[in-house]
Amino acid sequence: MNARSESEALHARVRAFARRALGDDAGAVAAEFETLGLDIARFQATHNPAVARLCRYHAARLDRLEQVPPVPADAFRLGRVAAFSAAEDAACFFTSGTTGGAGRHVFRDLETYRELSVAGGRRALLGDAALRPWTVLALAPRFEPERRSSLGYMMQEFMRAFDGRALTGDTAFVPDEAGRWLLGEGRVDVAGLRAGAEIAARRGEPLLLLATSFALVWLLDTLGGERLPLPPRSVVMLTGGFKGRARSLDASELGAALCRTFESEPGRLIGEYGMTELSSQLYDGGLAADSGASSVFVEPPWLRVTPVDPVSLEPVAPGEIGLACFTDLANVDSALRVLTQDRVRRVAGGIELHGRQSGARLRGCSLAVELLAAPGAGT
Amino acid sequence: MTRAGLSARQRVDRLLLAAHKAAAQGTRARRELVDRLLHTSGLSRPGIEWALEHCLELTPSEAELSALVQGVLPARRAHVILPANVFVAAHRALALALSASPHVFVKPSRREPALVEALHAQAPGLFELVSELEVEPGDHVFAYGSDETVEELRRGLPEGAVLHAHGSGFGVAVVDLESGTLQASAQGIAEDTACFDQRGCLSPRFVLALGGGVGDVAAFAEQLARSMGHLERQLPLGSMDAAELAEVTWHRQCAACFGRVIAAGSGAVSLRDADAPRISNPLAELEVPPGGRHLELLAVRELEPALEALRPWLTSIGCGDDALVARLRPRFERARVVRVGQMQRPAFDGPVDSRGDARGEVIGPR
Repeated sequence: MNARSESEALHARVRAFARRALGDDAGAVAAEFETLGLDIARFQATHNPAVARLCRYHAARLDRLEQVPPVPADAFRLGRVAAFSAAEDAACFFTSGTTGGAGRHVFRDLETYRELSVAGGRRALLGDAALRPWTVLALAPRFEPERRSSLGYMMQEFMRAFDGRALTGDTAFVPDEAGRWLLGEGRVDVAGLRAGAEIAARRGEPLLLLATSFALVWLLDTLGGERLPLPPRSVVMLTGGFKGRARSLDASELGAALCRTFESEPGRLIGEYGMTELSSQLYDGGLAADSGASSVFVEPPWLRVTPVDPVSLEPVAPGEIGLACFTDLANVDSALRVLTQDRVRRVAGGIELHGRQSGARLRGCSLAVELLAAPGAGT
Repeated sequence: MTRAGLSARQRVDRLLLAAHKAAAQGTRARRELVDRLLHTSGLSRPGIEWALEHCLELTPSEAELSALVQGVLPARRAHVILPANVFVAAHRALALALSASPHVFVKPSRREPALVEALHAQAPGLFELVSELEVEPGDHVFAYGSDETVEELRRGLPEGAVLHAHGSGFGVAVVDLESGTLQASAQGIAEDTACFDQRGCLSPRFVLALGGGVGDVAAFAEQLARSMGHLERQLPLGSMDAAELAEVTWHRQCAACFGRVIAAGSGAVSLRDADAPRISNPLAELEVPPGGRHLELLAVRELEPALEALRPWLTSIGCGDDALVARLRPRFERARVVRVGQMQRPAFDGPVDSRGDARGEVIGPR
């Protein structure tokens, strides 16, 4: 079996695993996670040069998932993390980047990403109403493939899967239909949001508003205290923080303001945690009513988060805070295990986020350097 | 004579005298200083002794002192905020502030107050130690720290204050693999890296290797790692805090994805594999290696473009031979261009980091 067909077989197994895990077979498939994960790890150790080098460095035996050395998220910025050649790139998502260059997560095939993101989002965001139609809008710039935003792609696929119709008329879904994407040209399209809410109300269905936290703050500022009620049972998906932005609000302050504005219940503001280096997302159960409690983010069955010690990379003791180490079965062609600098704690039902690892003294100097490489020095 | 009656040069001379007394070999003052630094600096005892012997500027030349004093604008009052990462930095920072003003207020680092307190004890009244700065418009502030620290300070200063900020930066070593000085270069880079356990802004983080083939680059990486390992027997690594150790782990994980991580005593030299895939070429993404004696060796086809790209962070360039010094010094006037082995011994002629404007930054209205 060549690398491509091996990859395709693993993708098929992951998708089948996810379908069973979301069905009635959840208990039975849990044991499969380890087997499937190890098969993916061995595939990557053979065909992904970055993972292969890391395994060699650690002399990893790959007998158990915990032995698979995690690839740091920065590796996606520093080089290529892929089990296939650049000639086979079908899609590429960029990380936002900070002071340095952006990281890149390349895909040979987006089908697993799409199917699992939609399945996870459907369960977490739509809940019991998953089979009914929703009107879906995004408080985000229109997804354009050349912008290479994994979040934008996911939002577009949510629109297609959960709505699947044109906003007006009886025509088919058009991804870039006017009124669907509500950020652009340096402004928030408040009128578009009102119109979308009215369309959902006329249809007698809830609205799903997909948004970054920053965009929601921008919306609140634009509204200036004015209310914009959403139809009953509507849901707002919030993602991302405020890094590098001029204005920020803490989660409880933002949640309270959104509840007032949308005349919504706190439990219908659902947090999403994702990153470009992963193919899967976590969701919380909605803003806690007392708003003082930390959100608990829940993994889908094909993703596991292990808090690890930042020095030894061993799992921390139960209840301790560690760096988030993700084991993402959907990352078939990149890195099964991804280490981040987000601090997390395992609690009942999921994980809590506890900010970023501190002490990165010179990492603010992350930088892009134009080096004219010497012969053989990496071209 | 009160300090107000002393000239700038006299104030600096008094500071130098205090430094001599605090660091004089065989004295109780030196023993007490070293013992204290063992608890505050994180360095090993040999590391502290090495720094006192080789990096504390006790015998600057007349030309250096003239340059230092004349390079500073007079100020009614001067304030100094000291970092914790390089303990001898207090000496030069104080010299600059004393050149500017007879009224100097120093806020030592909470983690590393040893040298400045020792200097204060040896020269009572020359400057004041304070726990909080009270800066007034027109005062000059000499600040050392990370970019984040400096930015926080900037926001807190009153309009009209003059800030002399020295933020994040690092050094780069440069070697010509076709020169005959590789053994000496490896030793020199090892010394520059071991000094202050690589916490200083002059410490090299990258080594740019010019010329040679793939095998030459790898051979030099191994030679460098051996030199660092040998030197560590003489200058053991001190203690590192949890955040520093976490950075080391993160860096090694990253480096191991794309090449070799060659053990170099407690530290490491990383080198990308010849066939390591890159996101794009010639744009390569770099991660600054952490302290604790970690270097990344980069083969470059053209030296100046690589250094130009690093210019905003470049405090010092250590050169493997004199030809490189002569070639780079005119082009990188704001970096200290010296031979390797001398990167941590800059002339006492002004700020250690020459990237900033000598006139400082006048804080504007809010």
